This record gives sequence, structure tokens and C-alpha cells, in this order.
Amino acid sequence: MVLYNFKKITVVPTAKDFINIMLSKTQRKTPTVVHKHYKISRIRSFYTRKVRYTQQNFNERLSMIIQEFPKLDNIHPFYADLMNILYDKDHYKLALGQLNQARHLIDNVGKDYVRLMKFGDSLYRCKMLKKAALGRMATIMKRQAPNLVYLEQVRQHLSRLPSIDPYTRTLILCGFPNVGKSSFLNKITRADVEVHSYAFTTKSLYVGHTDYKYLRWQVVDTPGVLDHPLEERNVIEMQAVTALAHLRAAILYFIDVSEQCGHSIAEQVKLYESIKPLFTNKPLLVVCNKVDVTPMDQLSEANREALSIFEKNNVPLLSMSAVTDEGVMEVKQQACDTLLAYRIENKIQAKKVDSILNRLHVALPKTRDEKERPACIPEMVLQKQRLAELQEFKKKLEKNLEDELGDDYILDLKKNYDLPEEFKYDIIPEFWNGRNIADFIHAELLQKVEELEKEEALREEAGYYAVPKIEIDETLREIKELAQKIRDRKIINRNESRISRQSSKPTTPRTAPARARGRSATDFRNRMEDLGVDMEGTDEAHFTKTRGRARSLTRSQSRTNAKKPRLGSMHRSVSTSRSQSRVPRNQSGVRDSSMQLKLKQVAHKAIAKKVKKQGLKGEADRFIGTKRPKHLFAGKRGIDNLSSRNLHFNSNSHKKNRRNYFSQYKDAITLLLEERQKQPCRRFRTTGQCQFGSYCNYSHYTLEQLISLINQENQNKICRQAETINSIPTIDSWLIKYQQSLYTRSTGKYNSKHLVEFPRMTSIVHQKNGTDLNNSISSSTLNSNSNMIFYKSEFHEQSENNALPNKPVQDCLTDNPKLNISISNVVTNFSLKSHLNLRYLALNGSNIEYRRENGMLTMKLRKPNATATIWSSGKIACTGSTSETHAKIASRRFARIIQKLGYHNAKFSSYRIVNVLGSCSLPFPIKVIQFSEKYKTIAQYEPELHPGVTFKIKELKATLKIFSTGSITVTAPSVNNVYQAIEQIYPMVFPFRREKTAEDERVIRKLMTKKRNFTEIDENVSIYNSANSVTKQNCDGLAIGIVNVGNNLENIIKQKYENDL
Amino acid sequence: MPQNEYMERHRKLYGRRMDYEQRMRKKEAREPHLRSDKAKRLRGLKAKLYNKERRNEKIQMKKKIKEHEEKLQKKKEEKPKEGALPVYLLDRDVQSSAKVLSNMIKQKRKEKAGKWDVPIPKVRAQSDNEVFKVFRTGKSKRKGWKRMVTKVCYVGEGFTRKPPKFERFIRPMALRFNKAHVTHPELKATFCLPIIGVKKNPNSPMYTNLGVITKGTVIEVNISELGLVTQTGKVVWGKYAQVTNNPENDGCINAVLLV
Repeated sequence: MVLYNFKKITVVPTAKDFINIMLSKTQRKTPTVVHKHYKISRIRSFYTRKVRYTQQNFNERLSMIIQEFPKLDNIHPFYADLMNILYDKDHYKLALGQLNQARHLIDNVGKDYVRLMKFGDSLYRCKMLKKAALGRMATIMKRQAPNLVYLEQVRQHLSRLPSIDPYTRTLILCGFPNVGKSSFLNKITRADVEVHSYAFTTKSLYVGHTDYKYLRWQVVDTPGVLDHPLEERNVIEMQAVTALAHLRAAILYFIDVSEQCGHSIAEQVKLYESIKPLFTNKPLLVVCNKVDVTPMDQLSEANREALSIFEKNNVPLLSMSAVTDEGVMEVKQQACDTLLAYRIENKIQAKKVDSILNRLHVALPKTRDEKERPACIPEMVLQKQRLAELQEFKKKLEKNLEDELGDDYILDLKKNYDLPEEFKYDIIPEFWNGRNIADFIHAELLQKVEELEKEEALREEAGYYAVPKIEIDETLREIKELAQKIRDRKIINRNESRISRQSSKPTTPRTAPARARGRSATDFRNRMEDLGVDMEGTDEAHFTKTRGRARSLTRSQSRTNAKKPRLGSMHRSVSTSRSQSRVPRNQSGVRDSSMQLKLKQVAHKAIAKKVKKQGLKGEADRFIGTKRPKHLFAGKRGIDNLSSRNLHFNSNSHKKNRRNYFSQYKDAITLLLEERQKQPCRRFRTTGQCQFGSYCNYSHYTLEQLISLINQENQNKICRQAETINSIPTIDSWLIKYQQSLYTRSTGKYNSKHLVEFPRMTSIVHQKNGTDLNNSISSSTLNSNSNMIFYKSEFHEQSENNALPNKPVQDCLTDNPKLNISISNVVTNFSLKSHLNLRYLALNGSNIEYRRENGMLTMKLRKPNATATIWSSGKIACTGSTSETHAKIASRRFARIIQKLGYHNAKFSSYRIVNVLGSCSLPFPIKVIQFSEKYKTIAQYEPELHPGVTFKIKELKATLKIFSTGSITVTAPSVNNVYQAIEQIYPMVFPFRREKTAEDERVIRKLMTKKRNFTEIDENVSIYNSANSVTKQNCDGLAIGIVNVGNNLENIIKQKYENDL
Repeated sequence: MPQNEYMERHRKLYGRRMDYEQRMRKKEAREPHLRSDKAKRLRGLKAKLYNKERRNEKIQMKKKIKEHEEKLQKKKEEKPKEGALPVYLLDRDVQSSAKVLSNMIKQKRKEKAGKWDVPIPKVRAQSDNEVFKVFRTGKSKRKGWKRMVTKVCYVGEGFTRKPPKFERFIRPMALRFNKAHVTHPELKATFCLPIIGVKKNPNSPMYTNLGVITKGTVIEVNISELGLVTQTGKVVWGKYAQVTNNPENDGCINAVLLV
């Protein structure tokens, strides 16, 4: 396993490439088509995506670079130090840090511009923002150019570093340059390291691997180290120093004994001394190389002296020559051994070892007695060993054979087959009859077959296979035959049912009568007897205990009995009296889940079949194409068809009824003839009753009755004769006849109703015909009627004393009792108790105006003439009607109309007459000023504001406007109040009357033209004409004022009540 | 396992392959063909970029060749005719009419420009429609009395928003800038300086009040970083600068210091 793999770092592109890659990626991977007319949000998102995508790409790539490069703090100190030496830690960290910074900056730029893009209002602006964003990102990257270049170089160099594992068994070679470290490495490993005769051939660390004791050993070759202080060492030397410092390894310090490297032995020893601190706690070997040039024993005294230091320090000194291979392996072995021992020692000292050592135990049994217990070696082995010793016993190898035979040699492997000689060269097929031969090869096959055969023979001898001859006696045969019959029958039944199931047509016609129950105990018994089964003694057999028909009687009991006790609910089943919920229909009679499943399938199939056959949509489809096909129903009389009629006519009941009916109309003669022939009914005579009634064959008539019958007949005869004499009847005769018939039909009871009604009717007619109401109507009962009549004819003249007979005003009316009080407006108010959709009403109703600005509807009626104002709350004000009844009718009608428009829950409620406006013109003009002065406290007269006197009657809640022309307008809460008000005002006003002037006449005339209804005053046509002409010429302000005021007043009152509503 | 400078080592040990030089030469000779092929094949943006790059390369090449050629050329010196004016006396009295005209126009332009004696004297008018976006408010978005500024603006530090009911103008956070890249025209150096305020937006005084920054707007920047000193020796810290770019399009404010 390679711990540190620096080869996988991806390439770091140059700044230019970096930008190109990023921008082209954006170009490739984001949409490229956008148009000005697109929705702005779409344009925005188009460019936002570009910016965001680029930023993400930059971010990803930079993050990858930052992550992939090793972090100096996290890697092994050996590598960290090596990288520090090779690439300068500060520079390296700075480069990565700056990339990180750039990443941040780019992120920020992306974020900012995405935010700005949100307010882009045109394609141009968005595009410019995108351009600016990408440009800024590119600029940031451009500034990182040197860093990227540096990192790329680092990457390349890192990837070429030898992969040294700092944790394995390692030998490190060190020493002066050119002392033969690399040649030693080349000798013991397969690493092909450069070796030259000049110093610093090796400029960096090299690694090679060797095997010793079935273990892998890593050998690290370091560049030569010179003897000077650490600060002065160059990069090449420092690499060696790092390796020495950080790798826990055996160190081979190389000394060139021949001094060909250019450094004396003393110098080399001195170097050893100076770098000694690096060797502490590590197994150390000093290797004297190039012994072939100067052997160790030829060394000078001084040199020997110098080398003796190692002996003093207990450092093993070895000698070798890479050229002659002398001592090379020894050096290697010793180095490895010492390292191994050292590592084991270290491991034992570590804490972890205990846990393993605890589990290891090598048992060494003690000798218990004198007996020798040597290892047991078989005789054969010993013999062979001895033979081998004696005459180098060797098997002849194929190779030897080949050498002997030369070209004639053929490789023959079959001779080694473990078979008898004659079979060895047989051709054996691999497969025989489709079976692999190898499967059947068995060493003891033949032997086993023989054994089996023997066994078989023994068995046969013992009569194991002999078939006993069975004697069948009579009864058994019968049983068998019977069984056979049963089996056959079963098969037949099965086949039959199969056949019957196959046909898809209904098996029984619809008209066939319900089939009797096929199975029964007796039937079963008979059939079994047919088959020959002895059914004697089976009276009490199980099958006879069939379930009774009267199932419902015992149902509850049987149900409880039939119910299988559930597991774990034994104690519950005790209380069976409790009602149990009914089993679902699809589960009743189902034994278990498998049965249920089966049933389900069966049902499904059946349904599917039906559905498919009839082309239904599903199980629930009960579609019938044509409910009543014409050909089946046309021309049919239903239940009253001819046959049923005939049947009925011929039926006794009909005949009976018929006879009964006609018997009522029998003549006296026929009756007499019939009765004479019959004998008297004894039963009728004794009990007074007979069950046969009129059909009795005996006569029920007494003698007296018969005599009366004869009399009647005689009378009839006389009548008939009379009729024939004077055949043309008069009304009187008809009436008499009618009276008579009445007498006869209802036995003596007189229907008084008719008689009473006649005079009443005539009286009504009289009333209607009578022209003078004062004369004819006096009764109190007719008061209500007269009221109605009065209202209906709106401006009907009405005398005061008639309507209000008890008032003391009569004296005033001596002059002219006629007063016209016209009710011009009755305002009512009611609620429908339902919210209304005005729009809906306006759209669907007729005669409706929708005033949206006021939030109301106005609906008009022609008859009775009224206008309703409708609010959505359901409140309605009805105006314009001229009497209380009309107002009520109109209101109800409005309510009804709205109901019919769909508001069925609308209720006509809280109806109330709010205001009544009446007007009356007195036959005389009034001195208004004097009047107002007289009644200063009650009356208000403000000619500037209003031409009339305002007079309020508190107890009647009436407000009167009295004008100088003699006209009075009254507003009061009811019609009655209006009348009363006028009644009250009349005597007050009367004293202030004055003579009619031409002016007054004119004004009155004018009023008349306004209201054509004042027909009574149309006496002076000439005046009317003149007045008309005058008004044309010059209108009196007062008159116009009155008219206007009259109109205004109406409006004001209307508005007022609308407001109140 | 190859380690360290294994390629160089290989070259050292075994040398290059025999036809290396020839191959290199041929490769080089093939280069123009490959290039033209590429130029023909490329389409769209790639082609544009490639051609631009190639053009620059060619220009550089030609320049270099020309330089070399000039080095080699021997120049002939023409002798001046008699009565020729020295260079410094040329264009003295002879004034062509065309020159007069163009001078006049230039003069006029200058006069016009004099109105705003700033680097960018004329500014494109920005209508309200451009600067403000009608912001629909109300439950059913029927009301349209609110405006959102769609240009970059400067909002003072102490600014607090009014309650939304009374806030007629919204200046979105994304469009609020408080730094500008200001170039000193004499030093030819650019600094990123904090904005102090908007002095004048030539389009409308309302924009000035709102702090809308468009091209040509005069802003006040904090130049204490530059360390400019007045004649009395005080450090100047506020100076005006005129915006030279369209900040709403570029996402940054570039300005020229008004010295």
C-alpha cells in the first residue's frame, strides 16, 4: 500500500487556460439563445444562470486544486520537511492560500452580480452585468497566474518523487559523495541508479527494494553529504539530512577506505561525528567500501586510529567492495538483522505488544523420566535418506530423457497415469451419452457392483421379492366392485359437471319453475341402495340429521352453536347470550383464508365473464339501453286488455254488482211482477234480516208494501196520461217538480243554505247598483267593506261624517262637506330575512334597475303601482303606492318576485307602514300669515325657506304643510292619521279662509293640470284655459313654489325614509 | 520504478532516437498547415477568439520582421530643395479653409462643453421610467404609488427606512454601493475609495436627493487614503469625482477625480 501518492494530483492549468476552460465550459453547458422579447424574468434567469454556473465551476476547480495538494501539516514530517526543502514551505502555502483567496473573491463577485441581476430591467443590462461578472472573475484568475505556474511545477516534481514509505523497514545509505552508496544500492536492489565517478551523481533520494528473510526491505539512497554546518547545506544535501532525521531506519554510513572520493578517512570520520546526532536511537553500521583498492589490513596507522573510534562506540565496522561483491551480502544481512532486532525490541516496549503476547504460549514440556523420546521418523524415510546419501538416487527427469533422446523425444504424460498397464493408453472420451465420464470414475466401482449383486442374490434366495397370492373371498370382491362403481360414478359426475360448466348459456330457462331441492336424505339413501350399499341401520346416521326447514326459528341458537370457538377466547364463548355482530357476507360460510382466496378468484372470474359477454363497464354496470322498446310497448293496453275485460265481465262479482245496480231502477210493475211470484222470506220475516238481500229468492215485501207499490203504479199511470195531455212545462211546474224530487231524495231534510243565499245575493246586487253610498250603506258590518271600496277608488268622494261619524266637526261642513284627500304615497318597509345578490337579481329579474353607486336595486310594479328599493341586506322599502292595502299587496308581490327569482328562504317579515303622504285641497284659500300668528307655538311659517306653514300634530305624528291656496299636504305614519290630521286642521283653518282670487284659481288650475285626477273641479273649463295661458305668460312664484315644493316634499320624504332604512 | 529525473537520465543513457531532428523539422513545417486547417474548421465563438489571437500574433510578427528589415536597410537621405521652410516654420501662415472650419466647430464644441467643466460634460437624459419601477402594492396589487429605484444608488450610513406605508421610494440593498474606483487623472492611478455622498446627478435634483448614481453623476469621495495635502498642510479628505461608467450595467462605479 502506498501511503503517500503524489502522482494523482490533477494538472494545474495556466491562468490563461484556466479562464478559457471555465468560459468555454459556461458557453457549452448553459443555454445560448435568448431574445429581447422574452419575459424579463426569463432573461434574468438566463444570465443569472451563466454567472452562477461560472462561479460554481471556478469554485469547484479551485477547491479541487487546494484539496489535492498535500497539506504540509497533515503529512509525515519526512515528506513535510522534504517538500519544505524542495519547494519552500512558505511559497507553497502562500500559493495555495492565494488560490483560496481567489476562490472567495470569485464567489463574492458571483453573488454580487447575481444580486444585481435581479434588478436588471432589460436584456442589454443583464448581458452587460453578466459580461462584467465573468470579466471580473477572469481578472481575478489572471492575477493568480504565477501561483498556478508554480503549483504546476510542484505537482510535476512531486509526482516524480520516489515513493518512500516512512513506516517500513528501511536502510539508509549515507556518507560523503562518491563513496559508493549508489553502487551498493545497485548491488542489493533492482533499482537502476546512476553511478558515476564524480561527486553528486545522485542529486536526490532514490529508493530500492530488497528481500531478506522473506521480508521486503526498503533501501534509500541519499545524495552525498559534505561536512559543513546545517545552514550552509544546499538542497541536495538537505534531502539526505531529512531522510536521516525523519526515517526510523538502519543507517549504513559509508566510508571510502581508498580515499578516491577526494576526502580522507579522517575527514569522513569527522563528518560522522558531526552528523552523529541524526543517528541517535537508530541501528548504525559503518561500512568501509572499496576494500578491493585498499584492503583493510593495508591501512595506515593514522587511518586505523581514526577508524578505531567506531569500535570504541560499539558501532560495528564492516568492509566490502561493490566491485568484487566482497562482503556486500554480509553488510546487507547484518544491517537487516540489526534493524529487525531493533524494531522487534521497540515493538515489545510499546504498549500494544502485551495484548498479543498474552495470547502466545509455547509449551516446552520438562523431561519426566530417563526415557529418551526422540522424534518418530519412519523407517522408509530413513532408508531413503541413506540411499540418497549413498548413491545420489535421483528420479529420471523428463529433461534428462530429452537430453538423451534428442530429436526422437516425445513428451509422454500418459505413462504416469495411475492405471493398470493395459488401460494406460486407452482413449477415454470426456463425455459418453451426454454424461461426464469423470463423474462416474470411482476407485472401488467394480467392487461395489459385485457386492450389490451378491446382496441381491441373497435377497432373492430369501424370497424377499416373492409376491403372495391373495385369495379374494366373496364379500371382499363385492366391496371392490362397489368401490369401482363408486369411482366410475365419480368420474362420470366430474365429467358431467365439467361439460355443464363449459357451456356459457344459461342452464335453465327463466320461465322454468323453481327446481325442487335435489338432495335429500332419502334420495341419498335410495341412490346408495341402487349402488348396492347396505343402508340398513343408518336411521340414526349422521347424514339423516339434515337441517330443518324452519331455520329462522332456531337460527340464533344454531348460529351460536355453529360458531367455532376462537383461539384464546374460550372463556368468552361462555357468554353466548351476547349479540354477536353479523359475519360479513363475503365471509359467511368461508372456512379459511385459502378458501376465501379461491372464492374471490371464482367470483372474479364469474364477474369478468359476465362483464365481457355483455359488454358492461363493470360489475356494477346495470345499464339498460332502451328502457321501453317501442316494439314491445306500442299498441298495448296495459292491464286493461281485452281478455282481462272479458274475464271481468264474465266474473260473478261483476254480474252481481250489475244486477244490484239495475235493481234500484226497477219499475213498480216489474217489482210487482217479481214479488208476486215469490213466496215470502221466512228468515226476513222472523229476524228482519236476510243475507241475500235483494237477491233473495223469497220475497222481502210485506203485504202493505205491495199495496203501496200497486198504488204508486196507478199514480204513475195517471201522471203519464197527464203529461201526454200538456207536454210543454212551465218554470213553475219545473220548480214544483224539483221541490218534489228534493223531498223524495233527501228524506225530509231541507237544505237551508240555498234558501238563505238567495236574498243575500240580491242584496249585494242592490248595493252595487246603488249610486248613492250615503243612503244605502249604514250597517256597521259593511264598514270594512266600504273602507275597501273607498281605498280602491282612490279619489272617491267621501264625506267626513260617513267615515268618521262620531267627530264634532260636522258643523263646519255645513257649507261644503266634500273634501278630497288624496293619498299620493305610502311608504312601507319590510325585510326578507335573507341576503340578496343584487347583481343576480338585476340580471335575472325584470323591471329592475341596478344602482351600483348606491348599492341598491329599484324594482317597479305596474299594478299596483309601486316602486321598491332593495338592499342586499334583504331590506326593502316600497314607495309609490296610493293606499295601505296597495302598499301591502305591492310589498308582498315584491317579496314573492324575489322568492321566485331563487331566494326560496326569503320571508316576508317585519312589515310596517313607515309613512303616508296625503294631500288635500280645501275649497277655500287661507290667510296663512294670520293663521301662523294664531298658532305661533305649533306652526312655523318661514316664507324665505318655505311658502307654506308647517304645522305639526304631535299625538298623530303628522306634519302638515298649509299653503295659502288652501292645499294641505300631510305626512303621517298611517292613512288613518292623515285623515285625522286633516280632520283636526280643518276647523283650525276654517276661520282663516278668504275669498278666492284669480290668482288662486290659476294656481289651483295648474295643480289640476298636474294631477288629472281631480275630476270634480273641472267645472270651469274657460278658467282652466285662461289659467293655462297665464301660466305660460307669467308664472306666479308662489304657485310654482307650491308645485315644486310638492315635488320636493315627495322626494324629501322618500329620501328621508330611505335613509331611515 | 522510474524516479526523479528519469527522462533526462534516459536521454543521457540512451540518447534520442535517430530521426528525432528530422521529425521535429517536419513537425514544424507542418505547423502552418495545421493552423490553417484549424482556422478553417473552427466556427462561432471559438473561431472568433482564435482569429483574434492569431491576428495579434501576426501583427507582432510583422512588427518584428519590420524591425529587422529596418535594421538592415540603408536609408537614402534626400537633400532639401532650395527655399524650403524648416519644419518648425511649416503651417505658419498657410491656413486651409477646411482647417478653419474644423477649428470653428471645435471651438463651438468647447464652448458648449464649458457649461459643465467636467470630464463628461454631456449626459444622456434618464427618464423616470428608466430609473424607477412602479411597485404595485395593496392586497390586490392595485395601487401604484410606490417606486423602486433600478439604478445604483448611494445610501448614507445613518439611513433608516420609513415605515412601508410612507416609503415612496425603495432603494434595493443590492443596488446600494458605497465604494467607487476613482482614478486620479494626473497620477494615473486608481483607488477604491468610499463614497461620502452624491453631489449632483445632472438628470434631476430628485435623483440627487435619492442618491442615484448614473453616468456623469458627481460624487464626493473620501480621499484621505491618498494622502493629498492642501497648501496649508491639512490632509484633504473629501473630493468630488465624476462617474464615467454606467454603474448599473457594470456592477461597479468608476469615476475620475475632479482636480
